[in-house]
Amino acid sequence: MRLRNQLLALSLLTLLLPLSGWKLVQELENFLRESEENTLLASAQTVAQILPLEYQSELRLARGRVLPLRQFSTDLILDGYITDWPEADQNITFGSPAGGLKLDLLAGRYQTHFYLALKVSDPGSIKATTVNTGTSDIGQRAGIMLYVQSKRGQHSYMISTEAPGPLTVNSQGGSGTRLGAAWVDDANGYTVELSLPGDVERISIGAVAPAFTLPGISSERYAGTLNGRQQGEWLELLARGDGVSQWLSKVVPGKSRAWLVQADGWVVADSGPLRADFSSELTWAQRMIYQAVADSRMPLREDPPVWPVRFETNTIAAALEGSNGSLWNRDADSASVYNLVVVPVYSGSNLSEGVSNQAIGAVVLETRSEGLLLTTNRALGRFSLIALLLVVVLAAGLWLFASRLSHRVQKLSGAVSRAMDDTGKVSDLPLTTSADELGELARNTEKLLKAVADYTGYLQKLAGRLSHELKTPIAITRSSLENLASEDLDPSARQYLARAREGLDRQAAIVSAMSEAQRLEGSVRTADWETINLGEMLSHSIDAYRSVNPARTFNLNLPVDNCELHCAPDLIAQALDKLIDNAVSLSAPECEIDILLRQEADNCLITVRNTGTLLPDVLHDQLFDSLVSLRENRGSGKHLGLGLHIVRLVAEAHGGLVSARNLPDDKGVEFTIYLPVT
Amino acid sequence: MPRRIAIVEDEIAIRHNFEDALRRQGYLVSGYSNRRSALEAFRRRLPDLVIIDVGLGDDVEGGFELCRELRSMSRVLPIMFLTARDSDPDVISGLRLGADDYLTKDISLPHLMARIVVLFRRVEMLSGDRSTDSWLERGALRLSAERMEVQWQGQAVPLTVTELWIVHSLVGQPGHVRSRQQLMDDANILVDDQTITSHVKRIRRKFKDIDDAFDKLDTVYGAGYRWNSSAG
Repeated sequence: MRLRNQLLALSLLTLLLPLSGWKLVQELENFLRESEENTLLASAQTVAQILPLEYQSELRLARGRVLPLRQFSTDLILDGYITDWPEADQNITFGSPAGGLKLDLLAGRYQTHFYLALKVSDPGSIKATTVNTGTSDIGQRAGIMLYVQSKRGQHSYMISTEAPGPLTVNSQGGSGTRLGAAWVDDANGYTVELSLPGDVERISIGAVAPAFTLPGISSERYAGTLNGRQQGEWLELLARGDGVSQWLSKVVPGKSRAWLVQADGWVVADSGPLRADFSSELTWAQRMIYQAVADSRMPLREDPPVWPVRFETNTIAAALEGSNGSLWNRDADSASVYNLVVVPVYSGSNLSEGVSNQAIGAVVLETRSEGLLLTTNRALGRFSLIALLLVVVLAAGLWLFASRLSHRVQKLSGAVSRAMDDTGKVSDLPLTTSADELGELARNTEKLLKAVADYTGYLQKLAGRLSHELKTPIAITRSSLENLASEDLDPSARQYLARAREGLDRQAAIVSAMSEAQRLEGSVRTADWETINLGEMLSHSIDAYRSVNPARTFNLNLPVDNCELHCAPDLIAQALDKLIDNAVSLSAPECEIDILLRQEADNCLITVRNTGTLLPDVLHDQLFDSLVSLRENRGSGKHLGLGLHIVRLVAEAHGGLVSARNLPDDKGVEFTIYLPVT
Repeated sequence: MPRRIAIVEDEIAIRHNFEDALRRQGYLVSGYSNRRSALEAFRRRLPDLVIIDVGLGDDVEGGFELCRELRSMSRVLPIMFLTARDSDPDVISGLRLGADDYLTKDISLPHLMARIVVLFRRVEMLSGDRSTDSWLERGALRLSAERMEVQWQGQAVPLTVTELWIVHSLVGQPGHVRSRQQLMDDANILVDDQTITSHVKRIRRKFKDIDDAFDKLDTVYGAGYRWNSSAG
């Protein structure tokens, strides 16, 4: 992993900052919500406690003995269809003792009109209208028995028809008001809508159907509060109390809505919908942030009816058992959250007195807060933004710093590796003026490289110096031996003398070879430069080599247009000598030696190619260094590894270079001198 | 009367060896190990030949200095450098100071003796009778081995002994390539190829000093040198 990526990864740790900020904000949000909840609970408790006694009476009605009235906003059309009833699924259900027959009962009010809706289902039985068609005995008909109690007395009605549609129902005995109704058949039974006089106080109602006449069993079936077809228990009509609603809307805090619910969950009073002009002050970005911060486990809020009829949630049920409840909801696409608290209402409205009492109802209070946290503490939102920005800036800064550091290290590393390739020539390293650790490293590396270069230079000059120092002792030995030769010696002494001179000649040759490279460096400076035709020069040279080595085959391959080159021909001839000498001595006598001249781009290339001993891979780099010989047999003495060094010196004197490689398929070796034309 | 030869050489063993060898040839030899003692002796009396080493102990270039002083004392005294220093700049500066020959210590004693004989003969020729001259003529070139003299277009070319032998070897067989080894043998010197190359370069330069159009001395790359016999 690169340095800058490492640092970038490290900089990711700074993400902990906004993370912690986010956690903090979340905690704070929870805290704020809790306190808001407590406030709301306190308000609800207050409302529950100060509920005036006169309103409590409406809650005292026994459970299951009330018929709650919906509040219609428009007058109802009596058509037998209950789809226009608000919350039509909230109803009072009765079933017949043997099952089968079922009655769903709904009641509502518009101004002074009362309405009932009755949905009777009797699956598997003969349709009520069909039954009615088949009998004229009122005691055998199917339909709905209704007993009504009003200030004007008690009346009973039998609602039954032989055909669906609007109908008018007369009271039994004829003294009661005539009721308007509508009957609709459906798959399992029938639905009836019924208009009642405005002064009705309570009713006793039930669906009746003739008994199955199965062998041995015959019992009339009925579902409702009736006792058989006779009047049974009464259902008190529970109208939404306008008084208590107004009272509620006065006592509840602003921005909240309160309901008073009866023990069955039916809404007795409603302070009215929240103000609709609650306009959002949040931008979409703030909303996004809030939704990220807010507890996503909070349930989504379902769209409630404008005028709720009944609360049936567990929270309400728990409250009616005597414990306070609280519920949070959030809006799916805004930053709004809703808090609903439920507080039980006890008879007497006094907690200390009513602890052991059964709750007679509950106060439900709901508030809406928009971006609770953000509206109460915008600074936190801003902090999150700044923290995020800081992280980005910090990460970018770290990345840039790391990139620069990495770039510097790379520069230094590149310069060092170049300096090492450059056979001891130390070019100036970058960063040596930097004050930091990298600068120190660069300075120390420069020192090291200089020491290496000094040492390399020392080694390169060693051969020359050594040969110079050896010349004098050789001269002493030689002159001594020659003096000795002029003495009167016996034959055996002469033999030893001859051997000594032979050895000395070899020593002298070695010393001479050793100083050759150094002398060449001198002659490079004094060489004559002229423009010559390389091809011509090569063909002359090859002729000479052929005459010197008549047994060998030399192939010369010249380009069509011979290379004109400004060069020092003496030096080039000397380099060529060395390469040819190499090729001749390192290949078998039958091997051919190819000499190629070609021009490539701005270079003249002289290539000497021969079969024979391959170059070992290990010494490739040092091949052209002084005193490196790849010959396995060094016994011949004259090969000190200076030949290729001289070739390199010559190539470098011409601004060129020299390369060596093994030919593919072990065909031999190839040396190439590159000479720039310019 | 035997000729008197002075050897200035700081290496005692070499000096004694050379002294012994020369004495065997019948010369009167006196050896000196440094410049100061040599100069003192030379002021009293000049020898007939001086052989000088370039480096004299700590006096790294003492030989050159001594040569300069000797040349100021006598314009004709034969001076010969015999040294381990064989680089081009050393050879050039030695010859420029007026030395008659520049030999390296690789030289064998017989070769040295031969060179000394040649040098003495040249001195004799310059001072003696010239009637027996036999001149070798090749176009504009006239060469006399006895007189140790070379003329180009009638002007004397100031060649050293080694150079003269090289020219002599080349013009002996004009048009034929003489390898460096052959030239070395002919000039009685044992040096490496590069020194031959620099000798040839100096010869060419000396001819060109007289005639800028001189082009008789060809290099045959990889083989050696050739005296161009074509007219012109």
